[in-house]
Amino acid sequence: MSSKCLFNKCLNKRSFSKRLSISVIGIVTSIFIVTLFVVGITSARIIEDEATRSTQYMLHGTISDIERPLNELEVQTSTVAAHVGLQIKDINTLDIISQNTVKMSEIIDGLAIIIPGATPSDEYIVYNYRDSEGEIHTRRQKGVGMMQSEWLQAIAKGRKPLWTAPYYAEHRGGGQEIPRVTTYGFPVFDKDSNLLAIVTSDLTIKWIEEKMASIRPYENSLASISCSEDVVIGIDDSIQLAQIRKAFAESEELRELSDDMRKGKDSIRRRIGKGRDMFFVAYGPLHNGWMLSISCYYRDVLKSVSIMNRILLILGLLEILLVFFSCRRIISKMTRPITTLSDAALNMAKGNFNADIPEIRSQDEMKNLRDSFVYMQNSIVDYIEELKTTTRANERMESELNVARNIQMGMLRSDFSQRLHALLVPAKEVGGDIYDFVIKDNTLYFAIGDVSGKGVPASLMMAITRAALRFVVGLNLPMDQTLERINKGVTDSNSNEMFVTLFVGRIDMVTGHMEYCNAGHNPIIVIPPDGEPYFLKAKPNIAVGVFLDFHYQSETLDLRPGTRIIAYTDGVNEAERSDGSQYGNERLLEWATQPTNRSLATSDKEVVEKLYDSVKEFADGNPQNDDITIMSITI
Amino acid sequence: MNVNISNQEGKTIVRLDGRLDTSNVEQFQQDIAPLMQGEKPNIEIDCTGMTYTSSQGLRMFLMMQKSVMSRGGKMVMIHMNPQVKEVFDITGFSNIIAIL
Repeated sequence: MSSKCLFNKCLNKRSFSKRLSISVIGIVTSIFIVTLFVVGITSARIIEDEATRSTQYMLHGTISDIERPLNELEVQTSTVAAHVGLQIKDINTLDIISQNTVKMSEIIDGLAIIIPGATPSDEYIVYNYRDSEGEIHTRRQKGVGMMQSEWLQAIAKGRKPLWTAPYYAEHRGGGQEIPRVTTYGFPVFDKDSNLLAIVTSDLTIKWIEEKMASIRPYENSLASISCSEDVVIGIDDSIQLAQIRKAFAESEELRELSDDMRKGKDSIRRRIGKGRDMFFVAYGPLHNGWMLSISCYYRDVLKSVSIMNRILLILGLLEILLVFFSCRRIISKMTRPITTLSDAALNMAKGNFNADIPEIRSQDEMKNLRDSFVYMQNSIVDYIEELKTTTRANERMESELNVARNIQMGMLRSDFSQRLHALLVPAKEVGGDIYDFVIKDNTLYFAIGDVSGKGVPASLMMAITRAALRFVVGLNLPMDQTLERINKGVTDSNSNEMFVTLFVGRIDMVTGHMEYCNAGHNPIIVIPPDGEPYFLKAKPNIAVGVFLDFHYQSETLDLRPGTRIIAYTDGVNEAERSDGSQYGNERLLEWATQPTNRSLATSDKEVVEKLYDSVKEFADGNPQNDDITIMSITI
Repeated sequence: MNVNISNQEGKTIVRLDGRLDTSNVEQFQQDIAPLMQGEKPNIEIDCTGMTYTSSQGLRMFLMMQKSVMSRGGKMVMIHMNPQVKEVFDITGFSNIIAIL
């Protein structure tokens, strides 16, 4: 039950579908992030290029738009100047020229002819201008000292026309709105290059200001014309102007930019400033030295990119979610057979071997798995049936063997005397070892034997041998004849070439005289009371059951009182350890040499048990592979 | 137990290697089955590589010896190591099987 819980827990914790889905999501997300990054960067580049190109295009258009009226004004002014040069003596004519020009020209809305005198007080000015309602006003002034102004001085000295920076035409006076104008001054010289007059034409720049305000390629874009150090068209907020100046003073790249502008270069500069305030600026000069610039913040230019990226991001997240859920769904649907089969396996583990295994319709690996599973289930069911049958048979055989064992053990005497003890431990339920003894008056008959092989066949031979032994010993014959009779009995009943090694002996317990005959059995150990133990050599008689008419030869030995003899079967000296080494004769003799084992204070029962323990200790848990029999007799 | 049977100049050479015990005595019986037929066999069993025989193994050699004798042939065992020879001696088998 607990193993099932554990299994289910594991299943829920990191299901196959979940793990696979997470992997897929990981890959999709990585690809998406890389794509987003590349698309973002590339589109930003493309849009930046496009924006700068279109801004430059706009700049050039604007420059030519502004220059057209300026050129027109310059041409008209130079024409007026030519007339002024011819009519310089005639003040009235000059006045008319001035008036007519202002009346006729659509561009010039104020025209002054300044005739410098020898002294400032001789200076004469005729000035006509058109107010906002189109009415012409004329002013004639003398000795104003206007020629002292820096601009007119520059024209006079430079001997060439000049534009002023825009200014408010306050000198016109009147209650009307004061227009902001720029004025073009054109010098008039006589044949000897003496300054005769300076003709100045006013141009209202309201339209330029409007134009500047209208140039907005992007939100927050700024278009302006810087006309001199202090005068800028397009930025009328003095605080903003101060900030721009400050920025120009502090930034290296802006200083370079301002140098470029002063030198009249036509160019574009990208990525000025940092972060949100980063901008690019396109700039170009007008022929009169003014500089038009259009600057745009990247945050406005790339607004479309960031919107696009945001949309992509949202779409991507939705896509990832969709992939995740559909992946889980598809995979869990595809792997459902695994879950079903694992449930069936758990069901089988509980012992329900006939549990139904659901059909799988798809013709794929899952189907193969299911088929293999069904095959396994059938095999297990068959195997269990087979096992049950075998087990029943084994159980029956085992119980029969137990009965056989009891019968066999019943054949062995266990009414030992003080001077004799024996132990028989079969390797299997029944065995082929045998021992027996009979005491008649003062004579002890004893026998120990070993049937070739073990188990049931050996036990049957053992029973035959034991029956023959009991019968023949009753005849009270010499040992050689005893063995010959037993041999006949056993050989008659032996159609299977089995044989029995058998040692028989007869001891007169008063005199210690022993007559014995060894039919191929292990030599017994003789432990004299005051000498070293030894293996009793015997004439090489053949084992019982081999040849019907074999003549056995017996021998005799006189045993002094206190002598102990130990008979055993090869289960003792051939007992094996797991490394294959055997207990062996040497170890056996050494064991017999130990004082406690030969001491008469140690009973025969104890001696038998000690030898058995010694063998077991040597085997060190290695299973006993032959029957073990030990017999000890003390004279 | 490895059994290698070959024929040389009318003599059947049986080469034995390893232990002959309960675990392989049945296999051994099958291996030597070809030796149990034919008239007047002349078998030489080379025991150089045989390290041990159980009493069931002895029974196999007894069966071979009896079978060979009944068919008027002969069988000798050669190059037997002392431990194995001792088993043959104790059981008296060296009296009925020729061990050279």
